Amino acid sequence: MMQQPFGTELNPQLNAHSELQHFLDTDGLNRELIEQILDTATSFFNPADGLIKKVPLLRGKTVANVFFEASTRTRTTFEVAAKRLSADVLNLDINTSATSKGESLLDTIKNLQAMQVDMFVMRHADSGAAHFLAQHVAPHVSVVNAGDGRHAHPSQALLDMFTIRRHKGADFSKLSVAIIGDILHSRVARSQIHALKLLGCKDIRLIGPETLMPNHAEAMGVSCHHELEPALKGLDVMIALRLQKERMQSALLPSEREFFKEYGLTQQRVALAKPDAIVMHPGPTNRGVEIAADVADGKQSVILEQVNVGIAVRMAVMSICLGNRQKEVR
Amino acid sequence: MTQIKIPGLIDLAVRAKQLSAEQAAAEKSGITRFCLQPDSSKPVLDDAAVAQAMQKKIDQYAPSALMLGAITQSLGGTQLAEMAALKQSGCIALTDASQPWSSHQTLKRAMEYAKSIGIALHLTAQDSSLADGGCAHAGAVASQLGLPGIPSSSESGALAMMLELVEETGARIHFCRLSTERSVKLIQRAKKRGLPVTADVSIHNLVLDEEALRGYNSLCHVQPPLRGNADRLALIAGVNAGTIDAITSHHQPCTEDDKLTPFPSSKPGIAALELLLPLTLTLCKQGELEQGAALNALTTGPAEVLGIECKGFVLCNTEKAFTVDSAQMLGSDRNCPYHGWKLNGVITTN
Repeated sequence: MMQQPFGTELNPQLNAHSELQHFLDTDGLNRELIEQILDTATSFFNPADGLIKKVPLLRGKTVANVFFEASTRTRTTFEVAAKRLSADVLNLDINTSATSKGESLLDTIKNLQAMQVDMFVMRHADSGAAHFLAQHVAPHVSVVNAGDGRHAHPSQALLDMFTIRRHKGADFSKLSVAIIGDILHSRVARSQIHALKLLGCKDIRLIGPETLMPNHAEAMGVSCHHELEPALKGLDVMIALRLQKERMQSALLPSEREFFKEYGLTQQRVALAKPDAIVMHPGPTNRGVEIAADVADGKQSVILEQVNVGIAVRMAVMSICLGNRQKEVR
Repeated sequence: MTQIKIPGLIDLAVRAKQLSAEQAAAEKSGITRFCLQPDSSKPVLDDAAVAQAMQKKIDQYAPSALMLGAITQSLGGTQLAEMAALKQSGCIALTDASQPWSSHQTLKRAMEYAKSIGIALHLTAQDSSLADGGCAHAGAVASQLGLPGIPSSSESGALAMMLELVEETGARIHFCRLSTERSVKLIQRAKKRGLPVTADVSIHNLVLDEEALRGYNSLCHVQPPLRGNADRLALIAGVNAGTIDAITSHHQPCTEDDKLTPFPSSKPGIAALELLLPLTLTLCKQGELEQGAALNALTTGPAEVLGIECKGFVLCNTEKAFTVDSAQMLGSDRNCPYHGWKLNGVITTN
């Protein structure tokens, strides 16, 4: 391609001092920034009881949770996180309001901005929507990506990294991690891959049928496997992804039953990994589809822990971004 | 020699919003004839009355424009438009623009009918079920950006099918906007077999590849999508070898609002009519395109596709450099990703 400038900001999430000002994607971060987020998240836990403290970091700030796609868990944890930071929170379910009346995304956001919102936490069906928003908000406003199309779900990925670090230590270089199931449509998987690589993980295995694998996935620095059992050997971490039911209608898979038979995480299969391996899932789980109930509830599962950690990681992301974004315009 | 005299350029694919603006942009690039897509007007150019009204506007505002009529009524892909009437009203060829064909049977009958009235069809090969709502080439970049992909097979598969129909009907077909390496090979083979086919490529698929999508630049959202570098190089080789007969600007004006949305929701299209010649000459200067073949693909190549002569001559300084300022561009909209680019080639007089 002709090498000429496009004027597009490739990584708008960092400010001129390479500090986080928006949180859009794990791609484009670096190890120090990820560790800063994970360490900040740790600091929110009260060492005495392990509960998350309420802190005044965002007092007087307004956070708008703008969800163009339905979500329960992510939206709730962002809301709780903002409230623990003492922010005022607006929750907007856009499916039923403005854009269905023909208002553009940018109009919706500009109207909210006029109501003195300091941070947008947005989920949108279009890949790149959070990048787009970050390029158009006012200079004091931060954008946090709560999921954009198939592209990224960086807060989920970092809470997963937090969980892995808590169980396996800070040295990711010797870890073997597998992500299993519908990689193609998964924004979680893409964000996990970048985060794992930045933290030094060298053995990332994607496991699933060809129909659920992205094109040229190897270009992301991972290995791809179509057979589950051989690929489970020696793993430290197994991450099962949620399989959406609409995948059956588009002929990507014959049936949930066959998927579970070929790729479902069962006790027998989990036993092929290392004895102390952990089982993760971004939730909500389809028991008996991608994961057996006794594995989801079993002693190697850290699935519920992930939810609690999610609050602390989101508090870290929100406080760091808004702190960096507003310190210069104050 | 930096000053050259070449026949007036012919652009096979221009979508116009404001005829006078597109005419001015064309003149700036030395384009003395350009084909208007049938969806440039509302209602679309699918019957004689619309064609006659359009011809009047052309006479008044855009004397370089030639009309492409629709193959099917309302570009709907089901009922044939009155092709003979369109031809008699001045349409130089017929096309359903970028509308995909849902029925091979309708397409075959369109070819047979067009052959019997002696008019060429300009076809875009795309299997919409394989394209599956995608907005970017199904390659490594789209995978990383999480953009739904359009596989190469959606074009080459449809093209192979269309070539089978040409084989059977003997209709004179021009294939529009090739974007993949396999498509170039299919056209090369068809030509070798002596089939009455020609092909063009959009300048954007020669200049840009999928890497341009990083950062979700919606100005680079175009159909067919910007593909991999191997595809781009195969298209360049296709122009150099004469397999591809013409380079088009594939000019598609889009409003600011059309582009001011996240990439997948933005309207595809690039407006760069006046940059057709400079972008081509810059590729020559960089040693990718051969100047002789490239200039043929802007002049005599498309003339042969249409069965006409080039109109007049233009003088061009092939070396003269300038910086693109999209705010100063003359077409009806400013959706141009080349703002700030340094290009070579300026028309000195025509």
